[in-house]
Amino acid sequence: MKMKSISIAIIIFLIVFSGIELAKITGYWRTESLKIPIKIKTGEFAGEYNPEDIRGSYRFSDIAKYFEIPLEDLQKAFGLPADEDVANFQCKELKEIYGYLEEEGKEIGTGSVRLFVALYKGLPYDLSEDTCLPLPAVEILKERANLSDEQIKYLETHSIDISEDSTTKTELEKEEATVEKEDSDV
Amino acid sequence: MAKSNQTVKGVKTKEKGYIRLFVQIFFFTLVGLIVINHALEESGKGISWLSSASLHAICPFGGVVSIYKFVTTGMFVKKIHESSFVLMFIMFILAVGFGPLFCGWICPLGSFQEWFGKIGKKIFKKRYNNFIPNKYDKYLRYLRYGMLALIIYKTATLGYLVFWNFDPYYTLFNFWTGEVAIGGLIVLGIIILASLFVERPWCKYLCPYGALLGIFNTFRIFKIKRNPSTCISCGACDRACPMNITVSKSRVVRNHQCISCLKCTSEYACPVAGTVQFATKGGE
Ligand code: SF4
Ligand code: SF4
Repeated sequence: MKMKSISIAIIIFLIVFSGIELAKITGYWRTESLKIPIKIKTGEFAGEYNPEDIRGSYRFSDIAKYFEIPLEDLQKAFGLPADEDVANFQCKELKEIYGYLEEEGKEIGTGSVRLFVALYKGLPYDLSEDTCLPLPAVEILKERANLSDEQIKYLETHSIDISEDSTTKTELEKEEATVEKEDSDV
Repeated sequence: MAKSNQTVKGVKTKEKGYIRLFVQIFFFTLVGLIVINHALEESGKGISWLSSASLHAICPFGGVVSIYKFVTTGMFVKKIHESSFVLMFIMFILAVGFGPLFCGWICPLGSFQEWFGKIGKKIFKKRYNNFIPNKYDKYLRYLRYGMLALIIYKTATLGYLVFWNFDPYYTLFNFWTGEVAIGGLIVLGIIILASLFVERPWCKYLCPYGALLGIFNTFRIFKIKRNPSTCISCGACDRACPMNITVSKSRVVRNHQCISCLKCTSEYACPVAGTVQFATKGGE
């Protein structure tokens, strides 16, 4: 059997790209390291995965796996559309979706995921960081997590309504606005 | 390449080498775009339909240097991932069938040297690629096996990409990021300069991956075969070979330096149809 350039070119494209596709189908095509968060070393929660170690490149599937949070909760909490590939959604992509909040000095990003995960799992988290959460995330936390009064208070001042017709005000700002409006109506 | 368009019996219009050039440009551009996309993604502006893998993650040689660590610990050398292993296997499959197609058709560093060498060819004409006397050159060509052994040994014992800061391939695609090491720039600079005198100097003397793939030439399924009964001993194949292999003296090319570029074949340089071919054992 003989081979000419054109056949070789076709074979190269065929073998290279079908090989890569096959690896993708079997889940072996990974171009970055597996995301495994470090564990908390000391104290009451020693041995638990540390939400502080969640990085922007973590996919929601990594979070679901290590922190045992259902993907549906993550999808709902962060307002991802129904057709989004939630499992492969990377935390840093939140910044793209909620980039418009930056104008108002607010942010929903990887930090929000860390906060959500920590509260969901009842793990320690430094609340002085001024991190915001989307309103559905707060609702899920109120429903599923064991929150302290301090945490509930924090969430009320740091939740952002992400529904389409909403402004980006936090719940508290909205309440204040309503009160002001009522006052002026009187 | 197709300079021997003499009127010899059996001559037909020569292929100009555009097919291989197209494949080389395709992979060069693809790798370049992936590297740019990797940088863009870090600043949140990546192109979603294009891979944004790091250059290390799409290097098949990364798979090779990781074998030891993977077998002994189940982990990869730092910065290397499963994708490198996948590409390593794909290139091995290609090499078993056709020899180092990776070198002759895909490797962007190989293509880059080849393209740069065209300037040298313009300057030195026939002397180009013939500066080093064969009696020394044939031994120097084994240097790359020393390099291969050294890199595999060092990476296995230390567990990270020991030589990345001398890697000309990494430097070639990342020199604009400011993240490259001075060692890499020096090596790349020397290669560029040497390419003006010698075709593919890095491939011939130092490339560890080329060394490894070259071993497949001894048993690959498709080989460069010359038919002595129709050969007119014009030496066109020898002159066309970028790796200075004397195809005109072999029946079958098993030289570890062959990069399966096909330049010597009757499709390109050899003026007699069907005399030098890329064929299996039975294929004349
Ligand atoms: S020998 Fe090395 S640098 Fe040259 S083409 Fe092959 S892999 Fe690329
Ligand atoms: S022997 Fe032929 S195929 Fe091999 S490198 Fe030389 S010209 Fe290319």
